[in-house]
Amino acid sequence: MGCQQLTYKKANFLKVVHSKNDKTTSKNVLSSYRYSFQGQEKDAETGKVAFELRLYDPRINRWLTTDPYRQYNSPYMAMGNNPISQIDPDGGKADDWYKDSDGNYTYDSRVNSQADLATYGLDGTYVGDTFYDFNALQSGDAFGNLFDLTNGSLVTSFLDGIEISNKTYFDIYRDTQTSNSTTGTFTFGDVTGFTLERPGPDTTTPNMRLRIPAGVYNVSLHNGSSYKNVLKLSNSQVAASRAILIHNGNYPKNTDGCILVGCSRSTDFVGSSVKKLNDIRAAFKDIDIKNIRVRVHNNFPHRGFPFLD
Amino acid sequence: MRHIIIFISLILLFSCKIESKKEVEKSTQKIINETSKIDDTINRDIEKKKEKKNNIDELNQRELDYSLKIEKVKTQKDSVLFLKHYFNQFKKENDSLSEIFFFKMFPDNFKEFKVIYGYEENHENTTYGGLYENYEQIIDYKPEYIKEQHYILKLINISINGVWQSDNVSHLQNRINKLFIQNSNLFVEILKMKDESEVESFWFFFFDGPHPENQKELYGKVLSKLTKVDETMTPIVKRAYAKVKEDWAEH
Repeated sequence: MGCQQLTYKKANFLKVVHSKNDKTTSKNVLSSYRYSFQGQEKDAETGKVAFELRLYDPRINRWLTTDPYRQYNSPYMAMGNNPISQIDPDGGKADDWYKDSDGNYTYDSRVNSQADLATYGLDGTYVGDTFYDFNALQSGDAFGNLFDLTNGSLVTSFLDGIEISNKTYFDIYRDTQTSNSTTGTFTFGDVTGFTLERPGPDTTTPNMRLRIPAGVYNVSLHNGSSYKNVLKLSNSQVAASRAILIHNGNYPKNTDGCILVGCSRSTDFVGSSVKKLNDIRAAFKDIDIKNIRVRVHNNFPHRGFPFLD
Repeated sequence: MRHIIIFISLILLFSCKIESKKEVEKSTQKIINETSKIDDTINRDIEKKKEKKNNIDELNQRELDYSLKIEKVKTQKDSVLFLKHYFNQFKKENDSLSEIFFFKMFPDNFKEFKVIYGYEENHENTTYGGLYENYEQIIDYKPEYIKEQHYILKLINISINGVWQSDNVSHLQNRINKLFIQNSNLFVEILKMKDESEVESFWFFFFDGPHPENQKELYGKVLSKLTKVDETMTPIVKRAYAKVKEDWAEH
């Protein structure tokens, strides 16, 4: 089995590094990008995805030849019938990721534990079979999967430039900031409205009375003494114990990091907040909360693309 | 000859009669004219009086209408309609009467305010007041003909027994916060006429809301104002703020 690596660079923009025989090439991920699903190259003749050991058809999620390792009952079955949560670097077994000494997240088919890193002379820390590259999401049309760095859960997947996911996204687009607040717009299914948060800069430190960092957040349902049936955000940077909620309120003084929603906005203000919160409640009523992700985007005009240097 | 004399006499006599008749007619016409002039003047006066009366009647009628309308306010829907009507009238014509009646119609206590401008959450259902949406301007209105002490008294009365909720209640609280800093003397003067429990309730509403720690700056300003105006109220303010912090200790 060839030593093939698929690496997501921890940078300000998603990069996929595909290395073969120690020759590394890298390229920004764009829709014209020659690499395809799971970072593999497209085969020019067949149009299929060329993994090292065999060709793969992502539209039917099947290999075109049999599995040399006989991992599954069907030799044509790919990624355990779960191309979203599993990766197969070479067309053989689906194995794990580690973080190298430069901070890059690297997939190596030989690695299944920290001990494997030592065995193969690799310098780094074992991560697991999945990871999430926080910034990668911003590329929008990348090929590949995005995983949570801390728990290995899949955030979303892209195939041929199209996001394939069973997730429902609550997108917040921050666009205005003053010394007192950050305001923006949001979309959650059919529901749209305005948001108000604490002012910037983004911070992961609690009790700073500043806004939470842009990024992707898992969601759980919060039923506390003051707020009931509201969404609570958390990820590797923002712990659930901080109780960052999406709730009603109108002024910056009504939040310490939570996200306030409203039907209207003006400077440091959102109006008719509880009505908008009830719209949101109605929208998530029939959705499995586990499948909701909140994506916070910094779209401030003078800063350009949020994570682009 | 005799006949001639008689004839001439008759003619003369007749002519005299004619002259006299003309005179009479003339004089009569004169009298008529004069009378007419007098009549005109009288009529004009009467008209003027009538007009004046009409104006008074109209004014009275208008007042009566307003009063009647207020009398007719039996439901929340009525209040909403008339509040909107008088407010728009006041904004359009800037007349004192509209403002007075708008002010009269404006809620006098927190319960009324919440019913009209706020919302009620019951499990999965939320009932919105008739003026819940986009009526911040009505709450923000600055009195022009109403005396400030009456306006502030009304705000204090609404604050008593008030608890924070987002949107219009929050908006009103924000307005009261700002007004107190601008006119703390008047607020304190009026508050001193209230029971201690009412005063504490006012201060509770003043600071109530999520993350009361964020009100620390306002709290400092209030204490500083009270030091200059009436320090005896300070312990009540401290108690109320502590209660708010306790209530909002958890999300």
